[in-house]
Amino acid sequence: MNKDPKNNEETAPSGITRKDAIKKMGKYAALSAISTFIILDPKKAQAQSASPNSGGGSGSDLGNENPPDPDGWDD
Amino acid sequence: MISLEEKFMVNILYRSESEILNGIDINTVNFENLIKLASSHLMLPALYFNINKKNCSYLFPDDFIVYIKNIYAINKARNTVLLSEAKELSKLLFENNIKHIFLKGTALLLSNVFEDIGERMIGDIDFIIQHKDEEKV
Repeated sequence: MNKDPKNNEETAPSGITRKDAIKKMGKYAALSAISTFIILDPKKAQAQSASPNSGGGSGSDLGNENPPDPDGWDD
Repeated sequence: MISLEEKFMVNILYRSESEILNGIDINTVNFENLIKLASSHLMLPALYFNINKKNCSYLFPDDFIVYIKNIYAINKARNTVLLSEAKELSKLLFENNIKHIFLKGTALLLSNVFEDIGERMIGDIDFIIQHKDEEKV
């Protein structure tokens, strides 16, 4: 996770900002323990943990596709 | 000391519909803390299941319910696959005369301990065998 010196906004290597990521996932996903997502999708979680840029915490992983996007889920 | 959200979660999970708000002022519940708490104990699916069963979704913000409902649905779909795999595994072990016992989440779900297979989160399929069958397995 890099810090943008211009606006102090955290930006992931993919270019997505923390704010955008939280908006995309929903605030409750951002608050959920990472263990929940490791169980729901262990392959993705494993792949993420192998990435040198994964950061290890839910907050820094927000730019990836895991956890799933609540906006696209069926109600 | 137990937090308000912990007390509320216990009430939802283990109390009857009429007792859910016992000792709770719903306006003071922090739903973000409730998500953190329930998720850290892998209880989000159980939380949704009980909220739905006890008809108390009106107590929660809409986006809260949408979120935990989806976690529950994903978990139930995953557990369906895992239980199918466990049954296939068990069949294979029986065919090879290997005695085995499933443990923890898989055992509880296969034994119908839970009302609904989406209620419990399970990470993997744990089972034990006899030492003599180790190589064979």
